[in-house]
Amino acid sequence: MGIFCGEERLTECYRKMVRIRLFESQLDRLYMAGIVFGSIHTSIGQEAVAVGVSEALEVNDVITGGHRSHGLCLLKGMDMKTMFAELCGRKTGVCRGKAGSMHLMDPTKGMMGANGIVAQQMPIAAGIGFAIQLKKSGQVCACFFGDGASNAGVFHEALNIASIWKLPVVYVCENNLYALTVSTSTSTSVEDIAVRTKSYNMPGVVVDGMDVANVYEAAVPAVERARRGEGPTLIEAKTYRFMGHSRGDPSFGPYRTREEWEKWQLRDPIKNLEEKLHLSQDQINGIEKEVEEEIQQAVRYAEKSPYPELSDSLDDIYA
Amino acid sequence: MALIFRMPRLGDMMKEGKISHWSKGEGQQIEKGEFIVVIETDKVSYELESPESGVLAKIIAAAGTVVPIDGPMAIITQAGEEVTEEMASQVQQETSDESLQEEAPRVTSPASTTKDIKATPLAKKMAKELGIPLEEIEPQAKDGRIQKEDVERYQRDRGDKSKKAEVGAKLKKRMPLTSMRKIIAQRLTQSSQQAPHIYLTIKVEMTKVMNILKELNESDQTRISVNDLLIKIAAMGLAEFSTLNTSLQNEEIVFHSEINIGLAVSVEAGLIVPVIRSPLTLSLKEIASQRKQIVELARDDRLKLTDLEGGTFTISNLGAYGIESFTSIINPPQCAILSVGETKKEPMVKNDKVEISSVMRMTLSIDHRIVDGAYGSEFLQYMKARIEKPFLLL
Amino acid sequence: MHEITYAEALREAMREEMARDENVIAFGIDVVLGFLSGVTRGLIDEFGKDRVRDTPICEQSIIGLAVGASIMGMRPVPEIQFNDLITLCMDQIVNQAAKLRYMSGGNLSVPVTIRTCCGILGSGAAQHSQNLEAWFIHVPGLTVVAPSTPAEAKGLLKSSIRDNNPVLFFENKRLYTQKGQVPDDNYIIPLRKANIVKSGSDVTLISWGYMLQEVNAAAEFLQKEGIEAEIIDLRTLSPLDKRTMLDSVRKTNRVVIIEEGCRTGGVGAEVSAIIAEEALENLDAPIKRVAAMDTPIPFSPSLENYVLPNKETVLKAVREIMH
Repeated sequence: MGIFCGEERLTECYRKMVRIRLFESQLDRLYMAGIVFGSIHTSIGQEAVAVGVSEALEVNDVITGGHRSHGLCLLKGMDMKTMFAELCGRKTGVCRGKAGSMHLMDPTKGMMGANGIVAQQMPIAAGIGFAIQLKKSGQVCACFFGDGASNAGVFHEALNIASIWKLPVVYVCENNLYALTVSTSTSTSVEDIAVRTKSYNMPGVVVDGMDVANVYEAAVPAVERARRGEGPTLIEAKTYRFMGHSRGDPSFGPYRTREEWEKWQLRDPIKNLEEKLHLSQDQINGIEKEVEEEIQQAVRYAEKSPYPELSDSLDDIYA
Repeated sequence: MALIFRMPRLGDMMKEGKISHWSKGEGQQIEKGEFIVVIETDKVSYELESPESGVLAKIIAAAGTVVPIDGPMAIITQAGEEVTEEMASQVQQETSDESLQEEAPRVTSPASTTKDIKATPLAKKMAKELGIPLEEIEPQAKDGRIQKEDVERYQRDRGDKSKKAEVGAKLKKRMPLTSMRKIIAQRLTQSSQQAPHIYLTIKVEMTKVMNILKELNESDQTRISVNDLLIKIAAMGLAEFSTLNTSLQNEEIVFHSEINIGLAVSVEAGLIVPVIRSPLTLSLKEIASQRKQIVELARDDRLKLTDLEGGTFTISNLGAYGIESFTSIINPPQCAILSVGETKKEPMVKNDKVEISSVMRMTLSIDHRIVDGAYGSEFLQYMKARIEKPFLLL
Repeated sequence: MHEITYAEALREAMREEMARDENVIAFGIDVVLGFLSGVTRGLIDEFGKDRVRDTPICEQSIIGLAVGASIMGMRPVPEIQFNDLITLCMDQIVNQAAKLRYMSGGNLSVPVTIRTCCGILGSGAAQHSQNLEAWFIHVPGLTVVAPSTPAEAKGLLKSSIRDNNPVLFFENKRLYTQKGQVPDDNYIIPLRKANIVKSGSDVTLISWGYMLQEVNAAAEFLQKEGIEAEIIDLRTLSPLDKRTMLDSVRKTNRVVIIEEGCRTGGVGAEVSAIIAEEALENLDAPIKRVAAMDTPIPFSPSLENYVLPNKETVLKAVREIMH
């Protein structure tokens, strides 16, 4: 018997996914307009993974992620206005313009940080779990990373230690088949990354990352296990990013075929959920419009915000 | 037509001259007769005129250069003319042939600038604040770098020196001998070393002669001085006592054909002795006139070399300075020199009575290799007689 | 005052801080037994196996654990057994610990104290004998500390643990067994402030860590020659206490910087640059650095000894600038 993701929850999931997608799309447009700078890694296509896991978490639980973490930030309830402001490098940004896309964080909301270095969020997540364990706060840490991270040294170090210390961490691997331009088929020694958990004496499951219900249904037991103090779980969500690795990388062409891309398009999690939920066009439009309004308001806020003072560059180097 | 301006022979004895300074610059227009350069000999400075009008195209001998007689000093061209290669190479050849020594300090390597001097930053700062040029500080360190303690030491010594200066006479900075002084030093040293001097002093009663001179000068514009009289009488004496009008040359006493009396004149640069030629043939008035002229020229540094050459006997008078009597060193290659003291009132014994008289002392220095004391004494007696009894001059 | 070794002093510091604040935790390889240095020995008995843990050999994750725990409010004191192994955790130190506060716009703190040890072991050879503190002064956000005596070690470790910044604490192998007087009371020594060990007027000797031993010995010799050295123990290598070092140089006009690490790009280079920039006109001699030769540390004892700086090389350097 599994967990069942009911319709109400699914509708909520739908809304959350749309919110992420429209946010990412807006971000893309802002980038092209030169208002947003740096490296932007959108998670369009992968929304179901973040949403599915976050549904299983509680408000006090915390998250860390890699460089593709905008969705995670939104799901932890970070303010869209200050997120956009941050991405536009403004003083009013959630990190005062000092972080940018790859290091977005808001500890007050439990978003403990996106990380710019592949896989380094994994031992940090173990450390977070370690603190939770010592404090006996009953929290869980969800750590998101990609298929590329699964080959880095610290992936193995982190899983090993999380396992032996039974740390309350749910490690979520978003396997979108490519680490930048390198495919898993050429770089990863196993087809299913989840298989590696055997080496670390911890459970690992493979889920359909394009199906939010599937993700949710695997996430719930993992989170509960962690909360019970039984240790970590690895959830490998098979998914696909619809855009390139980052802005400037085309959706297909250099290393992904159009066919492959089109095939995955058919499994678009948002579109499929629309069907599953039998949502009408009006309902869809309604939700989109609402989200769009929120986004536009946030963008306007960001665009009106001042840039930081030059002297701000010297703040917060030391506590 | 371009010409090479050459060092002229300004006197019989002159072998070379030193360029003191150019009054006109290279490339400047010059007029014939215009003074363009000052030459220094061992006796005198001489301002030279340009032989032609034109352009001072090239200065070959710069200030400080010693140029032999007839050596090239400059090239003067006509306006628009260029120095020909021929002339340039000729000049080059000549100047390289002669050993032109520059008496001026060599300017081949520049004096070490503050940049070249090794000093620690602290030392540099201290030196600057104390106004001490780094070149003057002596480094003690083996690596030659000036340090703080070197600056401090210099400052201490400087302080000591200035204290000494306060206590004693004011310390003058060093002054190199001018060429004139050098020559004077050289000759007088030579003279006092080689010629064994003996000194004969005689007192002369001047009352009568002073009165006569006073009378003469009242009616005449040309003021006849004691010196003029002495010159005349000395000349007469030398005619009588001709062995005093000689020079010793390689164990031979050479009797001069002329009697030319030099009068020692003190000028800023030192002592010069312009010569009155053949005063024996001149009247007192003529002697006075000549004497005045050459003294003026001497004081203005405008004497020609010829004015200084040919003297056979010298008179030096320090009476004006209140000197009672003194001895002089013979002016080589002369045989004798007369040193004249001041004329002043003194008590004298006459006919067993004490009277106030104007008295003057003269001291004759003679070269004992040539004459003896007795001979010199007779000469002095001769002069004394004629000074005291001027009618003997007639 | 009581006389204890440098390692014992560090243990006292750990005990006192762990007793004072339950968020202070210690972990690393061989930490439970405190096998190498003895610093963490016995702590588990007092504070339990949750707060004192052995980890697998995973240096990057040891620091990762510390970073993660610290942003959740703990005060971790992870140990990297030899500073030569710090190469394995560079990302967590440089990209994570040093920068999280800055990137969070001040919303996060990383109060981690990474204990490690530097210096020679006695034929430890190239991979276990280095002094790598210079690398970390180049990373803004990190505080680098190097104690020189037992009393210094205790006071500075306590301050480091209490400090809200990530601190790299470089203990020195040769000092672990050195004995020294340590105050009885609960004291701390402030970070970011150098210590004038001995006053003098003739030459400033700047050093830290083990080399203070050699510097002190050299200073005694110099005193017999009539040279009064002023000895400065930097204590914190980054951020540097510029004021103390510059005041000293302005007084003595001569300076030698002595370090155990190798010369090129050492901490001495940074100190020299600061002095040259800000006190040039006070220098009555070139700035001198005494350091290990630019070689990996050789195995054979005579070679090891040769390439390292000691009292003699200190004396030589001083004499070169004293005339």
